[in-house]
Order: sequence, then C-alpha cells, then structure tokens
Amino acid sequence: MSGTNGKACVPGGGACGLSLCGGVPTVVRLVLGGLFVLAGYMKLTNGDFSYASVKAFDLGLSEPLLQVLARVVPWAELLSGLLLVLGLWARGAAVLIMAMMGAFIVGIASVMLRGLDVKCGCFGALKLFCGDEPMGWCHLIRNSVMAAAGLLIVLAGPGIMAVDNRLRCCATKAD
Amino acid sequence: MNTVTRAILQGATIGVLALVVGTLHAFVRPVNTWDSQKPALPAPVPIPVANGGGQPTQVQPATTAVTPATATTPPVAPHDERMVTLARFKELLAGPLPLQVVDAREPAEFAQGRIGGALNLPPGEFYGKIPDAVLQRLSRDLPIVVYCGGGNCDASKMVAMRLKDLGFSQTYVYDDGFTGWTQAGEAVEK
Repeated sequence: MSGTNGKACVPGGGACGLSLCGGVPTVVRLVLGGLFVLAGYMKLTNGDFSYASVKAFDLGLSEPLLQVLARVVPWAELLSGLLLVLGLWARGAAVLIMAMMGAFIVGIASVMLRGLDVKCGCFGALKLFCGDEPMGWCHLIRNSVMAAAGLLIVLAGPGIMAVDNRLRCCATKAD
Repeated sequence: MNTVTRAILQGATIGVLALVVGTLHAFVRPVNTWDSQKPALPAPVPIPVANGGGQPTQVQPATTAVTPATATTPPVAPHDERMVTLARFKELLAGPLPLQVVDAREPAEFAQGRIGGALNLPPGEFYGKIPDAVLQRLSRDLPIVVYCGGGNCDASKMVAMRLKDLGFSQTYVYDDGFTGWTQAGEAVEK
C-alpha cells in the first residue's frame, strides 16, 4: 500500500514546512472535533431539538424525511467529530464537516432572505457562540469559521497525536 | 490516489455510514415531537365558560391553588386537537377554572413583555432535568396553555410535549403566540 505518496513519515502528514505539521492542526482538529461531538450528542439526546432545528429551515420537507434528517445530521456530526478527535480519517471527517457547514450556510442564508425568525438548535439546548439570536450573520460567520477549520485540516493533515499518523507509519514500514 | 481524493472518499464513506445509522435510528426510534404525537384527548367537550365567553376578567397566576372537584372536568376543547385560537384562549382565561399559562420564549424576550400571569419556561430548561418551575409551580390537575413568539417558533410545541411527557395531560398550544396576542391588541404584562 502506498499511502504516503512518497513522503516521509512525518507527524503532520501534510503540508509540512508551513509550521502546520504539529500544533496548529492538532489544536484545530481537537477543538473542531470536540464541538461536533458535543453538537451531535446534544441533538441525539434531545431529539425534538434536532427535529425542530431541521424543521425550522422550512424547506417543505415531508414528515418522514424530517424525521430521518433529524437523526442523520446528529449522527454525521457525532461520527465526524469522534473521528477528528481520534485523528482517524481526519481529512475525510473534515471534508464531511465542510460539506455540512456548506449546506447549513446555504440554509441559514435562505432563512435570512425569507425573513424567517428561526432559533438555532445547533448545539441542542446549549447556546454557544451566538446566544439566543435568531439565525443570522453570527451563525453564518461561525459556520464559515468551522468550514475554514475543516479546510485547514484537509490541507495540513491531522497534526500530531493522530491515529492516521500511526497507520501511515505502519504502512510505510510495511512497504 | 492523491490526498484530496482520498479525503473526499473517506468523507463520503463517513456520510453514508451516518445516513445508514441515522435512518435506522429514525425507524427504530422516531423523534417524539408535538407534531408527530397522536392527540391524547377524546372528542371535544363543552367548555365551562363564565358569562358566555365575554371579555376576560383576570388572568389567573400559574400558582393558583387547585380545586380537585372542578379540575376533573375537561376544561379545554381545542377545535383542532391540541391547539387553541386567540378566541378560545381568551375564553379559557375568562373561564371559571384557573388556567396555567406558560411562556416558552427565552428569558430576555419574556422580560420585555408577556401575557399576564405567564410562567417563563423555555425549552432549554428541560435539558437533563425537570425544571424547578414545573415541579413547584404547575399543577397536573389544571389545563396549561403554552405559547412562544408565534409564526415559525417551535418552542411552545417542544415545551408542551415535554410537559405532556411529564404527565401534564391537559397541555395545549396557543399557536399564534405572543405576536398574535399583541397584534390583537391584548394587554401585555411587563
């Protein structure tokens, strides 16, 4: 298996030489992963918050689809968050988070354009970062920052203390 | 395969896994929401209303004492199952039975103005515990009407569902919410 693209087995596993091999991606990965674990857990343990969050976008979805989305979104957040924290498939988890953030940004922009007064159930009952404000610029900026954090992980790799590094090094030794 | 392509494939795999797990979860254990609950009430019954449903006399505070003999009569007959209109809400407020009014908006909104006698109980209060306000100030023997901002807000339904889960079977939602109340020119308590 040639999983290293010919590169040396370095801790960051990515764009080294830009001071991104170690601390920065690691901290970003752990913080972003932790936030998504929290978001997913809060939604899964308070299913009606999750349901209300999805429904609040008022996208004209049927009840069964709302029910499925209210379960799928928290699981996607929980899985991607856990994988980020572990540093396993970290780039893949970051890609999924970027995709989710992109979808949420479009949804929030749609809510703003339609003038809907919608409260964010992003972290369940917790009001992180944007307080009790209706969905608006604060949520757009927050999601954009998280998408940018995901992009950093995709480009720079998971940093240190990541399972991906261990697997890559094992693969290198096996080669 | 380059790094980005591999990351996209990994992300898609995680997404598919979440889709499968989430879909199974939704089928095995659907989200219990106000909208998905079946109506718990029997067919509508006449409501005892004082003075033929005229102007409201006085809003009863949420702490009003319970009279078991009168509380056994189903006091609310929502025309559409568990929702009450402004007219019905006013009838209930003016009726002979104490009505418990719950404001499901956030405290900051509640502080700016509310329906008289309302108890503030936002959905977040229910996370991880039963709110003290529920244990100490609400009676299971009296009807409860919950409202939020009106329009697209779901807070009233979420609170009503939690209250019903806790045994407050006579819980109803005033769907027009505080916006509908103020637009109708009704009195606001500050």
